[in-house]
Amino acid sequence: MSTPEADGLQAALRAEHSAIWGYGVVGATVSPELRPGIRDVDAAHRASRDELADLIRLRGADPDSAEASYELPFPVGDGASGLQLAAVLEDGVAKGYAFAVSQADSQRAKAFSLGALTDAARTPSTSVMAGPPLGPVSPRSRRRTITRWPTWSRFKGTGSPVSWTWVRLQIVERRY
Amino acid sequence: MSDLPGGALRPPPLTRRNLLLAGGAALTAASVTVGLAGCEATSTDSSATTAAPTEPLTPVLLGQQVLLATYERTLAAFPELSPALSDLQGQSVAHTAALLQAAPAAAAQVAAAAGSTPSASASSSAPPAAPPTDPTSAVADLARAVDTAAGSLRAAALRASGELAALLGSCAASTACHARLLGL
Repeated sequence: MSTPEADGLQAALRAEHSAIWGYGVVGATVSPELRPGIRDVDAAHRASRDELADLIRLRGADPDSAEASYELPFPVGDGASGLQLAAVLEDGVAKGYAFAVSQADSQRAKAFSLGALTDAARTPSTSVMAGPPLGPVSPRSRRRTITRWPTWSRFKGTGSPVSWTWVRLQIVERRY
Repeated sequence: MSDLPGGALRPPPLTRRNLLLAGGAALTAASVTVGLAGCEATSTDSSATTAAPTEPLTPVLLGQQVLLATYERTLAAFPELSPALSDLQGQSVAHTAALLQAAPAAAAQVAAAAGSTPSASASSSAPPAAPPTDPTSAVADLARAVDTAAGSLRAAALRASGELAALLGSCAASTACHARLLGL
């Protein structure tokens, strides 16, 4: 049975499927010291995937399956591009959960989606990037911030225009 | 098939001037909305006599003003923090502009609470807190303000529905990310 709330959760689930696939690529490209962090993030996404599937089943729908493979948005061949891919993956997951929030009727679905949305926003700047937190601040520390501003888009399969301009994920990469 | 988002375009950078323009536009829209509401005489308006009802997003917007004022106070006292903080500040400015546009009625209430022109609302409210004495404590103060704002945004997202909930949730997530970057 399809409801707006279930459809929103399915969108988030499809994003989680693609992220889990993508983190396999990320893990194969990043430097060894980052791999434990990548594994933790991957495990968190798998847990979220499973919880989403449960939430969808509770609403009388069958959880969408993962695709056999996904297209990479750009060539990924080294650690730097792997980390960029991680940011793209979290961006996609954030979009999925933000859509789920917009469709949620129940507090449980909304609270879960909000929490996962926050996790997606925080992940690139913390465990994946292995960058230090900002404070205490060393103003002269060498940081490079890569910004990506997803623009007005239609989330696949929903037909609902949602602006994601304010979902801005960032990579803070310590150069030295 | 792919659920991966493709390349994304980055909009022009938001400046304080842009924010003020956006805020002004939102407030202009708000005055139109208020005027229309008065003409239509909706059922919930009939009991309004003395105190206007608080718009749901008014506390959130007031919290954003406090946050932006904290950024300004911090950067004014310690300009050397600008490379580290200006990007985060710009995003909070963008959040506030988006919320002002999404909730024009609340924006009007916030402007009225400021008791002044719209352009003075975010920048001229003098914070009463004692100024921090060193950059580390200034960043710690700022981090607490950011964390408070994130909590307020999240709580509002839980109460809201539809795309407004998604907007509030996205702002909350981004702001929570800032708190993490600031050391919380």
